[in-house]
Amino acid sequence: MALKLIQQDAATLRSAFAERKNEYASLRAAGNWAGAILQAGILLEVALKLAICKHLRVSRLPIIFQVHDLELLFYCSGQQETFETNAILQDNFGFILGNWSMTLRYEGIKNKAESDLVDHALFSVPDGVLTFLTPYL
Amino acid sequence: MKSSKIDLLRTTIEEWVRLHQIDAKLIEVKPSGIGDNIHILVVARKGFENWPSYERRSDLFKYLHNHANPDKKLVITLLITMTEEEYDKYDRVETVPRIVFEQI
Repeated sequence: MALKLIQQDAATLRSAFAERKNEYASLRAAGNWAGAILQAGILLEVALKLAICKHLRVSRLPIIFQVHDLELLFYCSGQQETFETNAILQDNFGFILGNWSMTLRYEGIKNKAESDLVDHALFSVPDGVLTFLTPYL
Repeated sequence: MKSSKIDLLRTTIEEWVRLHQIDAKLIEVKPSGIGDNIHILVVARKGFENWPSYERRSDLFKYLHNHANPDKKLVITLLITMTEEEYDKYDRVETVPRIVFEQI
């Protein structure tokens, strides 16, 4: 039986990542805080799937990776060992896990302070989650 | 995951709760099921209401790493601190299966 793969390949995911990142910046610039927070998690999800492609050295992932489970995706990204020794990175990732899920699609009001915390957890240097992952994408 | 690690975490959280005079309703420490990752949930009847969510979470995270992580092997992938009111809302959300498959 053939292994079922996700339709999008790594090149498509990479384009999607760039597009989602631009959308995230636009939402923040427009003060659309709820949208920015939702987009932040989606951005991280795409980044993790790219990191897994690179770690596995494949262009398309099996459909078992077609999930929104950020913890599972991070574990499979090949970076867990580094993660275990970096408490600040853990704190940032834990903040995203605790404050993001796809159920945010059904929520409205968020404020700038909340969005800023998410932004810091993702993009602070050197231990923001996306800052950390960027070399592995 | 050794149960002694879970016990140490729970004891340390209880110390933190006493230190900040928090009336805890629930302290949950459990393996996430992925590697040695751990999920922690603390719900308070009183003591969280005037303490911003991010600050109390960050305070507990640092306390746990300073007091319950001598070998630097502890991996806390989820740490949530909530008031009772927040927990009631969270409880409903978490009835949704944790791994949600995409609809594509």
